[in-house]
Amino acid sequence: MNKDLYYTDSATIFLIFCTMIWAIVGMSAGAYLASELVMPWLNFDIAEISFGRLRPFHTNAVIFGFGGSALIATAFYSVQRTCHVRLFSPKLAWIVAIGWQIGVAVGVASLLMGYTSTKEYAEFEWPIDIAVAIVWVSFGVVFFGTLATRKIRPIYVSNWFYGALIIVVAMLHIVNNLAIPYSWTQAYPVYEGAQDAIVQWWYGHNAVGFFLTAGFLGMFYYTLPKQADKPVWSYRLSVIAFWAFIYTYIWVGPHHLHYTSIPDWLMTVAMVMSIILILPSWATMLNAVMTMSGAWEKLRTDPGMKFLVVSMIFYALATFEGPMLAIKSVNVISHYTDWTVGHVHSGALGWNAFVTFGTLYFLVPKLVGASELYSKRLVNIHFWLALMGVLTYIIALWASGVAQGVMNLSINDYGQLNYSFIDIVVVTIPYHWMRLIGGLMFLFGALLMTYNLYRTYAASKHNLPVLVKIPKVHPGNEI
Amino acid sequence: MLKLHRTIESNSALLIFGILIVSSIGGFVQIVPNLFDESLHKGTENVKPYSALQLTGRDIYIREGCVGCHTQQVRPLVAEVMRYGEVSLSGEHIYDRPFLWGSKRTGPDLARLGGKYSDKWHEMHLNNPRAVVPQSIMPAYPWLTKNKVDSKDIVAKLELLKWYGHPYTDEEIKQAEQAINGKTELEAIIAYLQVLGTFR
Amino acid sequence: MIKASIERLAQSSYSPAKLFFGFSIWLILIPPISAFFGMYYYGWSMGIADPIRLSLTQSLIISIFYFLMLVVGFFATALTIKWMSSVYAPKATLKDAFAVVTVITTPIMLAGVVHLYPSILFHVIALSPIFALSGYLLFASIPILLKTDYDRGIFMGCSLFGFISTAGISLLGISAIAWVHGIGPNLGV
Repeated sequence: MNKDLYYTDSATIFLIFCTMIWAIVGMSAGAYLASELVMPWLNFDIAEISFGRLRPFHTNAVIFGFGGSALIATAFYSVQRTCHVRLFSPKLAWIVAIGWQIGVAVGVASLLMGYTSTKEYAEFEWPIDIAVAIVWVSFGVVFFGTLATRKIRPIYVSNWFYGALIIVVAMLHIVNNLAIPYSWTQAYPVYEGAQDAIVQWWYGHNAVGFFLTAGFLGMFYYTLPKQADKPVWSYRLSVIAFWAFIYTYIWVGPHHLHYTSIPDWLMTVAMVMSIILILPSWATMLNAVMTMSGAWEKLRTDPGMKFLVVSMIFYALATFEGPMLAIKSVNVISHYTDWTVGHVHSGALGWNAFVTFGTLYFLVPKLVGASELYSKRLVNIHFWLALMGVLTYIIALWASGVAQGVMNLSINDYGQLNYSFIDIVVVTIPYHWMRLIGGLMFLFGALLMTYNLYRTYAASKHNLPVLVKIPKVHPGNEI
Repeated sequence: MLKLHRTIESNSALLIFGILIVSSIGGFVQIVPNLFDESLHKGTENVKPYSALQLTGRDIYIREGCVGCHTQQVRPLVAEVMRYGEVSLSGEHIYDRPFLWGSKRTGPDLARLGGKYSDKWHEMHLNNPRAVVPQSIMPAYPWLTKNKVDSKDIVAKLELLKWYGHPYTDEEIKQAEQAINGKTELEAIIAYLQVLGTFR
Repeated sequence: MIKASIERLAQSSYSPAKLFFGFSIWLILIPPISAFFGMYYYGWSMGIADPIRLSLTQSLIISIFYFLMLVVGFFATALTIKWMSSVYAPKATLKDAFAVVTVITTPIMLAGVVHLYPSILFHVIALSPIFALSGYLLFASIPILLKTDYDRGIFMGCSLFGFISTAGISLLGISAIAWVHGIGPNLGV
């Protein structure tokens, strides 16, 4: 049998399995962290599960474990089909898939053991940074290799976004993690103090912008038109939005450093560019919404579609709230509070997780050769649990964040502070309980999804491998 | 314009090149000038590199993830100055590798913690925060009292920092291991906490 | 029962002006007036210290601004519905758009009385079910009042939900900017 006539999806299936495991691991860690905030005895005086060490475990597990696996899985799936060619080196793809799991797993375990660089979302120490970089470069080789050997001439928009993900994240990772080791496991960064802060938040914001936004937009631009069975509404808008997006996003990093000891001009530039960033972000959202025009009944008939549609709403919300928080006057109140955390989770849960859920519900039956998911009803339950969970979460943290921000700055008529710090901590307790409940609902939904996907797989695994013949390219579009 | 784009999107090399160029601009503009900005790299009058014990303590602060709940940056806002002390200056942080400004105040800012509480207070607080602040939600760190500091890396750390430009003398580096041998991790981290904010 | 009332509204004849000036505007007055009393007489309590009472001038400025924002929001939402309906509900008119906004905002405006007891926790607990009800009304009323089918109605509801939550967040942001510039609680900035 000539393998080149068929797509290859075994690595994708493995990665989807890993995605759900990371969802459970990462979100459980998050829920445990939330519990530690309201019941500190849960730290049990054990260093490895204390809040300070568990927090980066959670962030890395969900961003790189859950998010990363989902991105690589869907990139492998969609790049083949949009290029009408078998994946460039399926063997290397498997190495990427397994290498990523090992890298992230060893990485997050090392964080619990106390090996950390403290730089947010770049906490892995230098040996793991190098390992992960090698895997990422291999990912780039597979992805761009597939693009280079494609049979169809134009490169579809989802691949621009995945491509930006790979290139920019590589640049960010290398520059921010530059450090000289003093031992086999630890290093000190080449940057110091304020310079380190500037580089870190150039990285930190763009990790969000390219890993969590551009990459997932790639996922979205493939899945939505496929599921809605409609082409993307405006090609022109996709072009403008893409380039404006990758240009503007890079500038906004210093909005994480408003009123700190970095140069004033940096803060102002970041603030202005953050506001401008609303345009390309919302242009994408508009494109998405209009793409669904005419595919109305899909929401009822297609269980995963709800997740895709609602993900766009949260994307719109998060990409509006972000620039708003980047305004210096708002930042005065919001910086260092739960408002920022609420914003992060409205994006991470409402946008990233939702688009992943919608995509995986769409892909898994296809990948295992099943005509449909094991249970549509479970998908609906998951949807409502997840939606209620994320809304509970963000409302709780809006209340908590505003309270913290205002109480921090509140002075009386004599110019004295009204509240001590511990007063602020006490006030936020009920909201932290609410947030814990929201997070648990979200986690429980993810558990239901894992079960549903597993049952779908189990019922159809005798079909594997599913051989999908690569269709011929329309005349005129051949390379 | 769109015709140009049709060309770019039909050529993976052009696409890669285009993405790299467009996405590098912002970083260049924001990071490179600061590398050459004297004011960002000039120390304040009182800034000193961390001693062997203080550096060990700082690395324990890093290990335990303290930066996840505590910031070290006083903003130029009246209420913050009242609450935490004088505004943070970039010159205070020139020997901070990595920086520890933090991004969340689950606990208070520690930028000017040095000298505010006694060593005994810190000992009680780190062993069990609720012993000194009943409603605290901070985890307890009793293992710091039990563990002795690991002195095997201190010389390598100081030599690396000296290479980076931190003004350590050869004497200091030679005596570093001796200086911290036998100390507990608690003593090390308290030494670090007590120097915070004294560099202004 | 709710659907029946909405059907009745759909069938009655009214002009947008009559709907707004005869009904909506009176409801829109409730939150700002309650907020005035809450800010000026009782003061926002954050649990421990004395409640923070604002001065007469500040309370008036904020209440009036609040009222204006709600009116602007009302019209902006109605116009947005009309604009969106070109895609989702081609048979809808401006009058129908006004009706939708009236329906979804009625419970929220009535619940504005919670501002009389200025406590954040109380607001979160009391308003969450109210917003949930409004959310339900949003999706229930669109197909009926905008004369569109169920599926398009759901999509439109989602888009509107996005618009309204974004507007809500901007209100939060505008408030923060106002406070930092001196209109609101005394902040040491």
